[in-house]
Amino acid sequence: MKKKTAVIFESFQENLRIASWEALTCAIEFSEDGVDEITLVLMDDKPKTKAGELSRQSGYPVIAIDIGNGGLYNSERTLSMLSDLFRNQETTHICLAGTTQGLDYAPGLATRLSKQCMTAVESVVTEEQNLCLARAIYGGKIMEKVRVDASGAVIVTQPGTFKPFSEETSGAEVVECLTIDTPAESIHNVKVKQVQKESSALAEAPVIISAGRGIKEEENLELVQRLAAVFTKSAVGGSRPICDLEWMEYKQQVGITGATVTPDLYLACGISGAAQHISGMRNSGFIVSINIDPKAAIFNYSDVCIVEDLTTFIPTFIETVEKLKPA
Amino acid sequence: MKILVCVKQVPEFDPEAEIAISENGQDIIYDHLTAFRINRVDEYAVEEALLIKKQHPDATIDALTVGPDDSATVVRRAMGMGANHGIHIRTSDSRNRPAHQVAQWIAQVVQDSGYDLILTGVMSEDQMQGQVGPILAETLKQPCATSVIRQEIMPETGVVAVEREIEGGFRDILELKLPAVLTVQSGMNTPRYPSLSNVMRAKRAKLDIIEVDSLTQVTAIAQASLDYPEKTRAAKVLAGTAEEKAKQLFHILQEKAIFP
Ligand SMILES: Cc1cc2nc3c(=O)[nH]c(=O)nc-3n(C[C@H](O)[C@H](O)[C@H](O)COP(=O)(O)OP(=O)(O)OC[C@H]3O[C@@H](n4cnc5c(N)ncnc54)[C@H](O)[C@@H]3O)c2cc1C
Ligand SMILES: Nc1ncnc2c1ncn2[C@@H]1O[C@H](COP(=O)(O)O)[C@@H](O)[C@H]1O
Repeated sequence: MKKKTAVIFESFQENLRIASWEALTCAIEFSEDGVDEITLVLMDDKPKTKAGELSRQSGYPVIAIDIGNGGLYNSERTLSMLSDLFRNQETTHICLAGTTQGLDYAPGLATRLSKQCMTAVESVVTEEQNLCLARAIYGGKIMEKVRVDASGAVIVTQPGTFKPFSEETSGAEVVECLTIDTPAESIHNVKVKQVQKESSALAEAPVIISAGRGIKEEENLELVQRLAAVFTKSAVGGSRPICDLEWMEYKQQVGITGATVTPDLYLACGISGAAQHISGMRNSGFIVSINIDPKAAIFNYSDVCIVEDLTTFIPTFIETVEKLKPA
Repeated sequence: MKILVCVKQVPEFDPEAEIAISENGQDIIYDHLTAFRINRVDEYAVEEALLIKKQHPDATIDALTVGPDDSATVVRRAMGMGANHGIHIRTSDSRNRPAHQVAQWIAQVVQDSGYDLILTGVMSEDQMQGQVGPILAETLKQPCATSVIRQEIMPETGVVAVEREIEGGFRDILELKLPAVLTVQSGMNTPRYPSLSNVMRAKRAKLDIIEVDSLTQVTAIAQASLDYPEKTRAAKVLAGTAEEKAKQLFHILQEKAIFP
């Protein structure tokens, strides 16, 4: 029997999130023998034109949901809209991107629909002839492969892990528009405000030296800065904990809630390699990591792995460069 | 005002301490070196509760954990920071439980306790689900906001104003009717260290212990097997002394034309 799978598309400021196209790829890979019926659900405050475009681009039918509310996301409204919709449609699997919005409502949606919820899904794998979803646990040191219950699941993909869907399609435009009007009683949107402009320093630097909690002391930041100085054009970045500690500014943070960067060289010093960090730097040209732990997850995403204590290795490397670099 | 903070015990990811997969590929084994500690972001949640109490001195703070016998240490840690009271939902050994199971156990225990606010961390460092908070909210039929980076309770109107972190340097500003569940993101405050006097008190304090067998069972539907991650790149491990590795790295970067 054909299973019904829905993929929820999220828009932010006039654009569809790339992560939603990645969730579509996951849904297709997870569709057994490719026979599942896939429908896209677009949530937007002016969804009509975007929905037509989405259907043409993807080749899949689209249900456009007018979210109203001035386009502002509200989990209470989203939960009641989507649970009604999926109950009526008898949807089995629901795929969506693990954006801050997706992660906000997906567990509640699954609970309301009595489905299993899986977050941070990175790939679809086959285990003993069963399709499974793989997700990283223990900071990326271990992969958990979960078999999905036949009654269906809410599947939340880790941004940056699946390829965004980009097949050539000749799909007809099939669009259905729904306005679901459920007032929010317990959550009121005030507004969305920008607190941090994206910084261009990280975006433009061909070399990024990034520090993680492994630097241990604020004084060791100086080591990282000295290391950055041996490259002609470079910038210093960091993982979230370093910014939380206020050792760096938030605009220097690399990762899912910071900057997404693609320098020619990304040099990670004392960073463990949690999925939220990896999402922001995995497409860098060349990745080198220094970590004292030979099993650090970051090594799985690196071209070159250096198992050393950064407090001793960085000075050694700087000396070496000074000796070997042509004058 | 009654506040509940959910805290989880997780292993220290120390390079020397081995976290390995059991032979049957189903369980995680911790070797004798592995120490356990409080999930870091849960410390931010405890601190936030303490900051609320500072503003609203009538507030009481309960800290709760679900886990095996020794996980009560994280409840005492929260009490050492200043939480008033501890609750331990005691399970058998296994630490890796699906979020819906943990959340529904917590819901059963707290549903009639009249908490005005429940705080959890945004994500546990070991299981990385980001789900216990939102599922708990849904089960208790309360509003929920995740990744909260600022909050302000307004007792006159019975709402909590929150800012939640979203992508691209933006924040979502919301008002939630109490009672509500918030999941706290790191960086929200600066967690304090436990004070000596609180630690002494926490040590002696009697916790509410609830055996999980006394609760309505929630099945764990997920069937999972465990594996080590695959490499997505060459992952060439440099060998030799530190000096030799430094030389090799220099030459590799020269080949890549990153050095002249
Ligand atoms: C919703 C959400 C969003 C998030 N967004 C981001 C984000 O945008 N960016 C981000 O970075 N994180 C983000 N995080 C946090 C993320 O999950 C990890 O907690 C974080 O990336 C870990 O940072 P770290 O690697 O610096 O620290 P740790 O995980 O503590 O790792 C420290 C590493 O240093 C190594 N080390 C220790 N001593 C030495 C030494 N002397 N020499 C060399 N190595 C050493 C250790 O072996 C370890 O691997 C987010 C989390 C959530 C829940
Ligand atoms: N076993 C547990 N006991 C108490 N709180 C928990 C437990 N597991 C998760 N939590 C809370 O839920 C948050 C998110 O965990 P998770 O859904 O596993 O990522 C944690 O930061 C804790 O606040």
